[in-house]
Amino acid sequence: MTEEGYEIPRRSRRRFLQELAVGGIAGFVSILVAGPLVGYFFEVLRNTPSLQWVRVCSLDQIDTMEPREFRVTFKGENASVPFEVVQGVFVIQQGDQILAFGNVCTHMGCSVRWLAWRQQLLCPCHGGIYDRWGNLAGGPPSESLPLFLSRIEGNDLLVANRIIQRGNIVGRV
Amino acid sequence: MIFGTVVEATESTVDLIGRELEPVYNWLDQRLPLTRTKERLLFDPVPERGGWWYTFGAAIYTLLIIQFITGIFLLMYYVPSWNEARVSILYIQNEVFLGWLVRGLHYWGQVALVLLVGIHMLRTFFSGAYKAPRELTWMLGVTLLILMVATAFTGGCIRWDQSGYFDVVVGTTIAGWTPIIGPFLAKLWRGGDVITPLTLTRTFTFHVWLLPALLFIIATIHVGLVILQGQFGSWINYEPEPPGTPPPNEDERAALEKVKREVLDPRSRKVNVPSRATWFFPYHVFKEGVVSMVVFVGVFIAAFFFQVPVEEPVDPTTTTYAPTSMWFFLFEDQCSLSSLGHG
Repeated sequence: MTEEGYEIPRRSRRRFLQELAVGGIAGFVSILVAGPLVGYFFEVLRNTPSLQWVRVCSLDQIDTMEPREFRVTFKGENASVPFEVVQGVFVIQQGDQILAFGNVCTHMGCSVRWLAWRQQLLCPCHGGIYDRWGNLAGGPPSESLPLFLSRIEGNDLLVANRIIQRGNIVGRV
Repeated sequence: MIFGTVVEATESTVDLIGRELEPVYNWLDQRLPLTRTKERLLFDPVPERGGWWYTFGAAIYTLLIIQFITGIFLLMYYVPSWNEARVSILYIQNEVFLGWLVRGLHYWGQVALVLLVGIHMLRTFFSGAYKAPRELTWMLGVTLLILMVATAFTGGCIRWDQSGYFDVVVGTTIAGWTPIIGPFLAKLWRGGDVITPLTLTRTFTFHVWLLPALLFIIATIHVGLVILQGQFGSWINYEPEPPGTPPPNEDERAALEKVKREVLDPRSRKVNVPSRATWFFPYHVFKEGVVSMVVFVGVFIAAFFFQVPVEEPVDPTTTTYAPTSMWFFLFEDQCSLSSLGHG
């Protein structure tokens, strides 16, 4: 008995099969439409840029006390238009190693900057603090600044668009 | 006397138009349930007390439609492209005739919308209007709040100047902090591991189609539920009349009669007869119109006098630009100082 007062007859086999068919058609068409769209949307999960090496600076530009920031430009890939990935790289010599680390704060992704008067790297967004070698020194971030895979070629320092674990040997002078 | 003459003339003109249009109306009414819809929607009895507090929803809906219209017009010049997005906004701002005003209306409309949604929610909360049977309306309303700030946020991102770029950076990073699925969410949104042109086109798609379409559909269901279950779910309307209240006039008596009949009808979803009622049209529509107009005039004045800035071109290596949160996310920005990242 519906609210309007008429009765829907008991479900016959014919009626049941028709209902099943309606559900089947709806499901079939939905899968046909959604399948390609889901693939289309999630395809970017497979995007991994190819390994690229770019020059950062010459070795005599590298200091032992102050991290110098350089702009590196990687060729953009996997996009509908040509573009460049610009990244800030801090470079400093620590002992006999050269460290090349990114300027992207590990908390929210803002660009950290070197404050000479504090001798620290500071993030302007939420006050993440790193020492001159990019190690976490305070504030809300939970990790140190990421190290770039790097190597020395002739008198130049090169970095790749790959992040490596801290503690790995980066480059010998 | 002169006023009397004017009124008479106006009335007779209205009658004349009405008579001329009557056959058209009748023709349509035979094919569409015009009269029934009109009686259900326009001559809907609404509680008489506290009416001004129940006008913000209408102002929000009006502003939403203005956002759609200004947004469509901005799209005639905006280009969601890695190198040209900011340039195209500068063009709208500086070259297009009245482009600065259209962009200003879209920007300040958003500010007013988020503010009004806050007021609307506070009113609903403090009047107890979320209680049974209106829980679904409240839930959809919370969904609308989330969609509203998401739309405002993505709109700020696609300016693709320094502020827009860092909004995307921080937004995708926060998405990346989601437990378990975070990295996938961030990558899906960015279209890769880093911010790329795909990030811009995806954010743009969310801003101009996905989120507004969801907003419009859910907002319409939200309003539909309000009409279905009877407006003003406020306790104040069901309390006895305070002493010294003037007696109801003819309209109010008729409206009260109608709502009593509706509540008794088993097919109706309305509950509770308010102690005083009046017609939705024109009495409540008038109040909604006044408030919507005041809000829009405020938006217009803000757009006229306060230009919306376009910041420097995107530079991730900046050492001078300090990104700031959008105003409605400042609370979240402060929360992230202590909570996020230590997980």
